[in-house]
Amino acid sequence: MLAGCQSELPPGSLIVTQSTLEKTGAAADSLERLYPPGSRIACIVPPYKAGQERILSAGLYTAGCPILSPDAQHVYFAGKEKVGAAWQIYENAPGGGRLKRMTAMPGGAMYPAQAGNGDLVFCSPVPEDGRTWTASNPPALYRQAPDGTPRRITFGAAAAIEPTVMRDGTILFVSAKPASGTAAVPRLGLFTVNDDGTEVTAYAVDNDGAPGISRPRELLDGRVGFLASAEPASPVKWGEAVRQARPFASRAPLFSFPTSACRAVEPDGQGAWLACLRTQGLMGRAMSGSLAVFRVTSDARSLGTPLFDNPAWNELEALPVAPRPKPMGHVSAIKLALKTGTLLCLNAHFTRLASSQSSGALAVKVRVLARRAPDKEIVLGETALQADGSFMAAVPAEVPLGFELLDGQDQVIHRLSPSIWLRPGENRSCLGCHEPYNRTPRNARPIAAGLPPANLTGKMLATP
Amino acid sequence: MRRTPIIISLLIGLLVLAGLGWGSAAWSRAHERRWSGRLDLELVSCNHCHLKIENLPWAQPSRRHSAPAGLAVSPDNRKVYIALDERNEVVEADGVTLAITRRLEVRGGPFGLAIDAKGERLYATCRDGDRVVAIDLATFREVESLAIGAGPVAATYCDTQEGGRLVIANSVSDNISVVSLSPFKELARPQAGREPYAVAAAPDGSIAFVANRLAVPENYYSMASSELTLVDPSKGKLLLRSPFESAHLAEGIAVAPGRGWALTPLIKVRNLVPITQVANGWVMSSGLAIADAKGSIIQMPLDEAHDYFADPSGIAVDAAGKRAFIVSGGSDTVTVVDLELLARWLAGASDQAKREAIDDLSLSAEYVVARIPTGRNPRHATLSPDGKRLYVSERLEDAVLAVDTAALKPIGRIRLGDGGQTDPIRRGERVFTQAAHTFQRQFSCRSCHPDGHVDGLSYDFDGDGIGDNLLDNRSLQGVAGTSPLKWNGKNPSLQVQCGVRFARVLMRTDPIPGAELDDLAAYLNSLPPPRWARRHRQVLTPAQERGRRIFFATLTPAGEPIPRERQCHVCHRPPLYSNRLMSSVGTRGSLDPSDLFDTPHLLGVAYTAPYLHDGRAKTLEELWTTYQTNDLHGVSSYMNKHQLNDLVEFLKTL
Amino acid sequence: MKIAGIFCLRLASLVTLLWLTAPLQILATEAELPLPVIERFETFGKEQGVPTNKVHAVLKTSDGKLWIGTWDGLCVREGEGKFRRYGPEEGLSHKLVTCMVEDPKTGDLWAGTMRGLNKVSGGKITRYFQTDSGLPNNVVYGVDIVNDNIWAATAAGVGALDLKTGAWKIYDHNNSNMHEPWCYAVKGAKDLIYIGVWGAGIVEHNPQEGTFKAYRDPDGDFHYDLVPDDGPINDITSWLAWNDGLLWQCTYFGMSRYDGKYWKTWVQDKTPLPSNFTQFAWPVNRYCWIGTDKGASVTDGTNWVNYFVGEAGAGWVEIHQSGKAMEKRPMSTALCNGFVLGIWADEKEAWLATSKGLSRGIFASGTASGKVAVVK
Repeated sequence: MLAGCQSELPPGSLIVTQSTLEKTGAAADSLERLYPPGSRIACIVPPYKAGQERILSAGLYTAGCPILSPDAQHVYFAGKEKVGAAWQIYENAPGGGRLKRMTAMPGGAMYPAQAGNGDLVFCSPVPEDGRTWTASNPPALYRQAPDGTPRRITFGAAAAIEPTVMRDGTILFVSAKPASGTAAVPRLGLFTVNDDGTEVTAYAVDNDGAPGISRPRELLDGRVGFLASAEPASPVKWGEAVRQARPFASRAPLFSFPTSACRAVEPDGQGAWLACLRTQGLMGRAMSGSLAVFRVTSDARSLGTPLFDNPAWNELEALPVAPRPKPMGHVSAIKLALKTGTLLCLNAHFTRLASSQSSGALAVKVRVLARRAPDKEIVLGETALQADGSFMAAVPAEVPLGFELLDGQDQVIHRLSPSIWLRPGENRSCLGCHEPYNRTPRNARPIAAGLPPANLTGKMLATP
Repeated sequence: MRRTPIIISLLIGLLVLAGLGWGSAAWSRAHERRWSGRLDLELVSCNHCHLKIENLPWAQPSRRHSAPAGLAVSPDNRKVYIALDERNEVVEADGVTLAITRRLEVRGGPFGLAIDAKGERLYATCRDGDRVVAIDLATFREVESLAIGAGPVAATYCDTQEGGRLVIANSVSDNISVVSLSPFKELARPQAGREPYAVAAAPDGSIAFVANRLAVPENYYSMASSELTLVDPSKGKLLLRSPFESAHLAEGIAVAPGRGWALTPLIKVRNLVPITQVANGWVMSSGLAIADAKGSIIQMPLDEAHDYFADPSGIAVDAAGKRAFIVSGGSDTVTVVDLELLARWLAGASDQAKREAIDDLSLSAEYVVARIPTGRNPRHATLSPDGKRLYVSERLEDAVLAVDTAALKPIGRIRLGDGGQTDPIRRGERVFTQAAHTFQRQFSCRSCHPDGHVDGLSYDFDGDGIGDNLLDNRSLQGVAGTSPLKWNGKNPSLQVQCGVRFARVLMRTDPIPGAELDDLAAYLNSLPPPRWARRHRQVLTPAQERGRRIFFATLTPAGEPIPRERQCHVCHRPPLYSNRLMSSVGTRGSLDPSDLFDTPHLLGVAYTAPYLHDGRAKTLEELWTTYQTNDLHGVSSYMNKHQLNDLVEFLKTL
Repeated sequence: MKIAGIFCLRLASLVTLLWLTAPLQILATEAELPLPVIERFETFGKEQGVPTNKVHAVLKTSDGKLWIGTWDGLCVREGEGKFRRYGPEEGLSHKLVTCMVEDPKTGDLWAGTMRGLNKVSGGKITRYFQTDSGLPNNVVYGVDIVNDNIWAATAAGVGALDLKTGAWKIYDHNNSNMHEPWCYAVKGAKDLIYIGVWGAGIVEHNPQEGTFKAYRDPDGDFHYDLVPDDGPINDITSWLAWNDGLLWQCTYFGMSRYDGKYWKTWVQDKTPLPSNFTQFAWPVNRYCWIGTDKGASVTDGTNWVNYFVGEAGAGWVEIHQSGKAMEKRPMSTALCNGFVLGIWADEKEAWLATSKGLSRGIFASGTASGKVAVVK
């Protein structure tokens, strides 16, 4: 039935998110701020006539952030059944069919994505409006198997939101780096994690532009695009991108022409992008003032006419209904029965920090910290660095871990606030402390690998 | 009433069957104990010992494909010559129409090609025939043949002041043949590193650069490095050896005219680091080594931060020294490097930055200007002398791709065969060589098993804990019938070995799908032991014969009986020279969880150094000198040096 | 006064003339000598980078580099520069280098040590031990290269590594007519191999035919050569050298030469041989340099030029020319030590490794010859 609906769709069909033009006041939560009541998911087909949308979220109070399965047979999006209800993830066929709720997360679920094996990935809970980066229970990523059991896969101290699954199977998401001091603005960045929650890694964006980062997408032209803004909460966003070849040294504007607002950029599968931009102020076309869908080629020097513009609605997002290669899967090696993981650092002295950020003293040991609750860190223990700077430790799983390098007088030389985590049974390695990005290890046998790991699990596992 | 006799008959039958079963089991156990000398064995399958080589897959005839290997282009840019080693042919194709114009049968597996400066003679190195042949290009006939070192795979022509020379990489005998062309004779055969595989000459013929594919085994905790060997082509003297530090699988080399560089694509290997991840090139990455005539080498990355171009092999550099074209057999790509940009980066880089460049995966964006997709498994590359055409041998496509170097776009193919996609072995070779199954396409099976063989390194997989169980890489040549696999004997078949477990431990992706896995197993089972055809049924020398007697000895020369379980041939039982059982030979290391290790087969053992489960023994001799404990690995304490040498000479014949 | 003044002036002029023409006179004398004569020695020690006084071997390779094997490593001097040392830290199997040979085809240097054999090739050292290769024993006293085979004389026989196949062969008392396995020297002679066996004379091996022939001291006396020229002078062979059809044997009881048919022997008291304790020979053309415990010699078998150094360090040369009285002359610079362990020479210079340094012999201009008739 659903497939039948999809097969009716002509090439070029799009899934769009539309919201009303009415100005909204207070939002019930952070997602409703983006998708105000009445927002809907629709399917449009060429020649994209306004008013002929097939509504996929019919019956929902509001909806947003749709994605398509790689085989283009399923649309997943977040929706609210009614005012006051929690956001959950819904599924429908691209051409319309029976709406199916996929999640039942307390606190709500948002930002669906689909892992390489087909499992649903999403964020939960949905934070209060304006509290995404300050919530006491920040949203994390979950992965839900077909049996409907959700499992949390991120355990950082900061929110993990807006996941998208890349071709290599990793989940790219937005999160914040550990706060330094009392910084009011969170230092957002792009991170990746395997679909089982292992190997969380900084992917791009590190104090190299505007601090607001949202809605990353792999553009399939060797770049990852995202929306940038002057502040994380600012509604005025523009497109930027990084080259996947060197993501930390290539951040640049996505468009070579001015735009007044950008809500989404998606690859159209044919080498161009579908961008949702505000039309107001642009010359030479109907001036609805609303957000509309544009097809933009990567070498475009100006914005053409909208591909689709329903003057009565804002088009917030648009994605093509077309199959794309299935992301690579990942055979997980974690052992959920365990409560610990093993961390191997090849050389704690190896750092990207400038010498000015370092006291110059040589670290002799490392202190491992864990974050039990906001503003509550505990010291798991200390272990000596080997002559080559390596150390290996068994640490509790699924808690944010931090590290302090200590010199011979127990003075802290470097500190990484609790932020990374290990999954149960995960063997995790790092090159150093604040290691340079995108570096391979030197080929040397770490001394610590020949010794039993220091057991730093006791305090955490023993303390309720 | 009638049922009673039936029941009684059935009971008697069952008792008889049970008796027979018990008797068979008892006999089998006694048989095993008698022949193995071990009391700890449970029932094992008869085929652990009783099988025939001729029934193994690799002993069966297999389809030979028109897989292109070495390439050469005539000085007038009009003709392309292609070596087809599997089909024992060298073919000529028209550079414009891309049609094949002439064919010549050349026995011995022609693999590497070189053409003289005038385009009068083409030279083909025959990998299996251990010879180089001269082909007259006017008549397209073989006119001379010369025996050289073993496994010649590449040659380069050098115009020296003392006449024309060929410098040839002999990949099996680990040496270099320097051949004068008039007269056609070998002048010298200097030793190279391990598996010399590619040769290039300086434009003035003063130096030949030879890239070696494997690292020479050293201490298993020391960094493995393969070698760049510099030779004087005029006399054959060895000038210099420089290490490709922590790198190997160097299968191509080219000289950049005007820059004084010899460029070698290679794999930067990190086998000493526990494999806790593969992201960020944790296991290996691709690089380009820039060497000068003094042997100083800078390694630059070819991969990207999140995308890899595995198994770089062939390379061609244009006559102006401006661009290098590097083929990646694992990712079906030609990487185009702007040498001017590369030189600019080098000019501005500190010594430390140059030393660390290879570790920075984001650096290639500075000088890689294009990636051109190719057909399956590109391996060799050459440019037409005018630099307008790049030819790439797509080995598993049975084709040679022609690329317009101005537009950097493919313009056609020289079709040599059908690609062999109906042949499961060929399909399996494709699975074996493609990196697409690995996270971010980082490496293929071939990256560690070049041609299904060994890379000579030991690795630390983390499936059983970090730092434990350092494991020597084992050859897949001759693997058919040798299961269980792995040193711990846990994998009953190639499908299990290469399936989910491999995906979890190494590939970190989806497992290879079942159908492809079967093809892969078909390919691996088709691989004979190294140089089997040449060594099979050869007459033993006196030393080898003496060694054979030692191998099969049941008594020491003094007449003392050797315990059966410590007679060489009992565990290493012919025809595989393995009883495929776990054995304790006193080699357990401090990080090993067990005394028991799989008994490896010995077919081609001379080619698989290093030895023992963790690769601690560099040579066969060390098995019975440095690493023998209480005669547990065969009784050897009675042997004098003559006998040990004889035993080693015999093992080399297997 | 005037006469006295004139006499003094004439005397001074005569002395000056004699002084000025002295080299010409020497030249005139030595031009008749079919051997090179060293005019002066240069000495090389720690200042030039030689790590120790004890230099066991010296070899100038075809690329012009001078290699020395010392008690503390292998050193190379490129051009006129200082010596650069390779020790165990650089991969050498042992610091005490005993012998060296260059592969004429490839330029590789092979160096024997007290623990293992080394190949120095293109700046890289590859080691061969008795435990990881077919080398019969780690104590390597002599090496030579014959037809792409490296031969090593060791304390447990000689080993031959076929450089093309990688196969080793061992010959000792078990499989040859060697009286005992302790071999001090091995030398290729076209298609033959001569093996110097401690206490067992010389063994001639024909690799093609697999045959062995022993040459033993016919009189069997360790300390006296009862009958001259009847065979090897002694069974205690300390070194062998071969060139241009002549085999030279060093022993601790005299010196022998064999031309394939006839033997010639020398002992110190009856011939110009400086000492019976001979330990190294280096033939050039058909004459030979000899290292003894009391100095160095060069001889064609008839004429001898011997170099000595006294306890005070003064050096002198003794020239024994056929039909002439021995001529003894002081030298302006002396051989650095009389205990000569190794020599390399060609027709232009000679390098002498001694137990107290390395000396380079600068030939008097106009001397040197290779055209020496063999006196039987």
